[in-house]
Amino acid sequence: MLMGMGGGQSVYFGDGIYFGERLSTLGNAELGWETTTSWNFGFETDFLQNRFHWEVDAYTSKTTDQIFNRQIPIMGAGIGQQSATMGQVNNWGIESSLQVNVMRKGKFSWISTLNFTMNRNKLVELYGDGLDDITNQLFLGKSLGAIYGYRFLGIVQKNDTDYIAANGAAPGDAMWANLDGSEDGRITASDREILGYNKEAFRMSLANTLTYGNWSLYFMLNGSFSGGMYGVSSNARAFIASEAMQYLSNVNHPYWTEENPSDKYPRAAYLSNGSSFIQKYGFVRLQDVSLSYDLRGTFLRKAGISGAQFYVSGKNLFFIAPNWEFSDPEVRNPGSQQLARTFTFGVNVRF
Amino acid sequence: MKKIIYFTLGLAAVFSFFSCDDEDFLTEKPKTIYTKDNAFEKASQVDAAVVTAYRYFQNLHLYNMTLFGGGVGGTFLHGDGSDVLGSTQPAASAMGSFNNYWALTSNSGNFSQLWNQLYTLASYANLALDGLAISSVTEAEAANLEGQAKFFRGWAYLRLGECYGGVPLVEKFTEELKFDYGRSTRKETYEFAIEDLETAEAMLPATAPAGRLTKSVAQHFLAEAYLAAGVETGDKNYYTKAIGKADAVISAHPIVTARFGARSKDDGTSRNGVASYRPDGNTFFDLFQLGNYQDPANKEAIMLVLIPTYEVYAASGGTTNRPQSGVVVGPPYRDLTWNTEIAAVDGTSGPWKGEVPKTYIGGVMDAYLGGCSWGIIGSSDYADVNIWEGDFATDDRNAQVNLCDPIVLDTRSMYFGQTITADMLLDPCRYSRISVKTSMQDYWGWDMKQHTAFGSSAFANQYGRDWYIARSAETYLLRAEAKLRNNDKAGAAADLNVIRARANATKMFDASEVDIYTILDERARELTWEEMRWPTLLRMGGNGQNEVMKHQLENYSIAANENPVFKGKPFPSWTLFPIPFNVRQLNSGAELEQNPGWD
Repeated sequence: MLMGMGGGQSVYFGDGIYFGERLSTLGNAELGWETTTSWNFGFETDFLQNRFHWEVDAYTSKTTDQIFNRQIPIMGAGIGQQSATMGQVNNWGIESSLQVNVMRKGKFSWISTLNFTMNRNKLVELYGDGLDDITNQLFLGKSLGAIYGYRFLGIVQKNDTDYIAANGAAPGDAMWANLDGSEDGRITASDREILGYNKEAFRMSLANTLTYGNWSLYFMLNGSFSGGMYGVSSNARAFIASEAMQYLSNVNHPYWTEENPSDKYPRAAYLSNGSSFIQKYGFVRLQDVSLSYDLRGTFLRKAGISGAQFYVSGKNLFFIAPNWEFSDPEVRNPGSQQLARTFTFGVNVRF
Repeated sequence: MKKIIYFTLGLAAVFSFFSCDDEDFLTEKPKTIYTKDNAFEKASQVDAAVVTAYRYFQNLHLYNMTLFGGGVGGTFLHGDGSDVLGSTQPAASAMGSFNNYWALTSNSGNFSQLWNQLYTLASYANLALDGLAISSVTEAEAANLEGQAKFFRGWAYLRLGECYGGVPLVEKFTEELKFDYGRSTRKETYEFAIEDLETAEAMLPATAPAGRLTKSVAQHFLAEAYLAAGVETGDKNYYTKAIGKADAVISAHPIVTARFGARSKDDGTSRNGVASYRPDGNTFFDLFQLGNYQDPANKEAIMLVLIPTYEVYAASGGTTNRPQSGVVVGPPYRDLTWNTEIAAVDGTSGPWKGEVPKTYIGGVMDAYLGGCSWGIIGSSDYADVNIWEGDFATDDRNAQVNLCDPIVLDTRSMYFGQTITADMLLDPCRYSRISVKTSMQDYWGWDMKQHTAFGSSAFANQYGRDWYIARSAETYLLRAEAKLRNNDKAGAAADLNVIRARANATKMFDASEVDIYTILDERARELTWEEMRWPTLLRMGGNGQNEVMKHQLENYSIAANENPVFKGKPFPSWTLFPIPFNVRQLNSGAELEQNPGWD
């Protein structure tokens, strides 16, 4: 309970300012320690005369009394949520790395490292009542990161008269699936489903170092992969405008019009259910490239220099995200600042 | 293989003390962490809970709340999406927005936000009542505090009953989680509200500092609660009771019938370079001028939200209300665009888009005073045009000084200085008239300090003016409705005519002309932007029937009347707001039955 100015609520009456008190949280005497028990299993091995080095680490873990911000009925104390620790989340995953000496011949060498990580989790228990928490998108038996919404079927066209009549829709609106099969065809809260999980299927990265004499080239490809229900995120801005007033849009795409009845993009004035517009964000990115040249030789030593390196490097040179539109697949919002592409040129001199 | 156990520190329980049994002096009583058990020792501490209830109550009356993320509050209750007010962008008919009745579901945000705000208000009232029981305050202090707390709880349940029908009745503040709330009937909800309001009436003082509750406030809302209960039960005794309470309010708060305040006299003074005297003003105009809300001559004000000056706001550490925001209310100036014919010949793209003079012209407001570039709620054609047609045109409330037709303010336009009409503009933006209640009309009341402190035009159109929670013109209209429902048409006509005479309207009602629609029209003329239009419409029916609301919305709402997509579409079958989806879902231990017409 917060009082005085710190409560942040006051009222100005004819005889002055009066400070109110504000309930900040509803305590939960049952809050306890969050406990994680985990089992790790791993091995590393070298084979073919140390040409391959392989590490695998697998784990399973169980977190009990995980703290969730639980939605509660507001009628009792005027507070709609409370910290609760009844939850249990199970995790399992694999981390693996494979290092390969691809080639070593004279002045030339090539070393390649492939990393793979994968994690799955499952919400086993929530508040002990056996019920999902739809408001917080937490579903028993499912992964965290669920996106719960309506299934997008395309755009309402003029001849979709039944759908228009049932839902007060206009041609150009998005059409949503009537998943509960209600006879009146109305789309209601019970037509929602888990559309996917905002969590990648797996990650992989490939790093290569090539050297030839004084020259050295390093490049690293990094990727998150979508698959099944995983690697999915809401991408409202790729489909609809960002506000109602002037239909401000951060991106340019062909909105539905009568002359151009798109089946993918709604009309400009349609602004609903943004989070139900999803896309797969799986991508591969050329994260790092660096080319360097080491200058060696007796003339350096005479000049009092022990070594010098010239290099040029670039970060984030390109990415390929076949199913993700209008923003960087790691930022996932065309309205935010995108990841920077940087180039560096430099000289390192050691004395 | 290894086994690792991590322990992570959980959150400490907030409602817990540390104590030591043996050594009393070691017992900590931390005053920095207040809980229900140590927060209510003095009257001022109980009052602090009451003050918070005031704040929630005020928020439900102000148009700010959408902007500051505080819920739909006043915007929705005052009638956004009803027959009088609605979206300035009706073409944006999106699922879940309130300008498309046919797409609304129980999961639409407005319903749960309103529910939460009303129950939060009731909870603070319950908290204050619990605190009162364990505090040591004098009898006189206790009566006033109990009166205020009971009023807020009664008012919250009146609104809940009007909007949602029978709702769970919660009489105690409880920290125990409960998941098996059950619905009462609408009649029980009204009775619960009436009992609290009657207690409040008995305990509240006749006078109080401005902004605080008095006996009259309780009586005004009791009149409304009796009316609502009468419609629900068919018991005409309620109407007699409503008339009695309205009589008491009207005798304590007679309406103002002559010009008053700083702008009514030709005394040569000025503010901001604008002459104080407005010869084209009238009594209705004076009611809404800076300083006049608390003027001793203004007996009509029953209760106000006081909007502090910037200095008071700063002294409170930025915790009081701010002036209401023009961002929410009024035409979307930025977006009003000429239709294609005008655009082709005029050189400008819209009436306010370019060179706008800083001074007002001809007594008509400029864009800064009228609102903001992206107003999101405007008045409907019903409120702007229909109710002023024919015999009803001559009326102070319809005069330019009170309900202004915007004029073209771009000096480069060939229409500069002329009145804008709706047909000059391109869809989808609505044009609406600008009310004296939500705009300044000229720079006389302008407060540059608030303008600079709060940043540009966001707070432009309310600068420092207070807000009526209730004024006795509405009490007259409640009494007229009670008399009509009690078969006293002549009495109803007489009450309506009192309001109309004050506005110098030429048309007076004959008893035979009065029906419920006459009263709704008169409420719209007098109270648009002020009255809580949704509760008014929703309490007009009961038991699954509400022909009155259906008629108003089908014929006059922006959605059904002005939006080409929905024009002529019959209003859905619902007569009450739905119990919000998440409220039903969280109540896992018992079924909260849904209202008819909702999923």
